[in-house]
This record gives sequence, structure tokens and C-alpha cells, in this order.
Amino acid sequence: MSLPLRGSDCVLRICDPGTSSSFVLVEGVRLSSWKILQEQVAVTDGGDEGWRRLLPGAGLRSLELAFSGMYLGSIGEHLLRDKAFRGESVECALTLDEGTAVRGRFIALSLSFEAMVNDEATYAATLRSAGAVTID
Amino acid sequence: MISASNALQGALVAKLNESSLFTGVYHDAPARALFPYAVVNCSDERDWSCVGRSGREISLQLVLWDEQPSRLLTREGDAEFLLQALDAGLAWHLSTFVLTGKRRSRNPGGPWSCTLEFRARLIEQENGASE
Repeated sequence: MSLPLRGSDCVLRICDPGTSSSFVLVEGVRLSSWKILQEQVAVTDGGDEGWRRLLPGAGLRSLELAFSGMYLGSIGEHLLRDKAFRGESVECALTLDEGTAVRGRFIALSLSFEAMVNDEATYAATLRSAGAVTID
Repeated sequence: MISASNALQGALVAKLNESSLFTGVYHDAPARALFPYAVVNCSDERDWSCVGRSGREISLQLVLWDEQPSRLLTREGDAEFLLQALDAGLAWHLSTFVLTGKRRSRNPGGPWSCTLEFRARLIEQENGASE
């Protein structure tokens, strides 16, 4: 039976293979999303009667992860912050439910912090895949 | 595990009782109590969770009663200052405790009251998070 996927089941874990083999949870996340980006290779010609024709299997693919939440100062957040400052990639595993995970190396395209007086500091990050990504 | 509202109320009552600002701190308006006294009420509670941690956002009202308006004015300031150093205990971390409103009123011929409204955000204490 198909059931709704709970947002709280979508968790991001990251790992720095240079220092450790264990993944740590990026805590504080309240909203996460991912999307596959596919470049188009148009091969339209005069015989297509004005309809664009795209070449299947061509063009580059990448995957983008976006997430935001409350900054808790966890190990995972620190690792992500340090990697973003150095422009280095990090191994990511985004768990979608108990049996599905998206895995690959990612680089932070952006990482922002926002802190309002009398409110909790929040952060938002966008990661772009830096190599092949698997989903299993 | 103790609930967030219980932890918050307990911490607040303990903090106020530590001081000698009030003759008592009550969960409901007492029939007979010596002035000045305080009444605590956690009215609204909503989920404030994030991945891996439960969280609660609680609206809390603290009503201070006194027959002397000048003393009440002093006590409300003192109480506000005291509550800035509130600690919700081992199970919950009090993330923010913000004054969202304050109003003074008086029933004709009766005592004065000052209602302090707070927004408290609590998140459960860390319990480990590695794969």
C-alpha cells in the first residue's frame, strides 16, 4: 500500500571521507528539497514541423539539494559550513524514506545564515552534485 | 519524558519562588492569597520540531496581582528580569523566551493586575545523531 512520505523522514547526512567514514546528521532542517537538472540538446530540424526535438541521453545532468532550518551548531552543520568556506565537496546521503537514499558528492553553491534578535538563527543551503549521483 | 509545557511551568514557578517577589505562584486564580501574587498559565502549544528533534512553541501568560500599583510596577520589572535566565531543565532546552505583550488593568475597586505574555520555544535536548 502506498503511503504519504513524511517530511521528517527526509534527512540529510554528510561525511568527510578525509577525516571519518561515518555520516553525521545535518540537524535542525525544517525544509528540504531536491531536483534533477538536465541540460537540453536540441536536434530540431526542418522536418520537425516547428516542434522542438531533444536528443535523449545527451546533455549533462546534475542534482541540486536545497534545505533550510534552525541552526543548532551540530557536527553536521559545522562540517557543512567548513566545507562551504573552503569550496570543497562533501559526501552526502539524502534519505527519502527507510529504503531510498540519494548519494553522491556535492559542493555548496550557497550557504546563508540569518539571525534576528529574539529569534533563533536559521540557515539555508543549496548543494550541487560534483559527480555521479545514485538513487537506491 | 516530561512534557515541554510541564518543564517550562515548573522552571518558571521555581524561578519565581526562589525570589521573594511574590507571596505565591499559582496555576489558577486563588480564592484567598496575600498580595502580591502571581498566576501562571500555558495557554497555546504548537509543534516546533525539526529533523531529529521534537520542539514546542508555547504561549505563556504570567498575571501578577497587587493592591499597590507602585509595588506591582517594580515587581513586574523584577520578574521580567528574573525570567531572562530561565532554564527548562535536562529534557528540554529553552531556545528563546520572548516577551510578546504586557498590559496593566484594574477592576473597579479591586486590585491591580499586570499580564505578561511570553512566547517560549523549546527543543528537546540532544540525543546523538550519527549513522
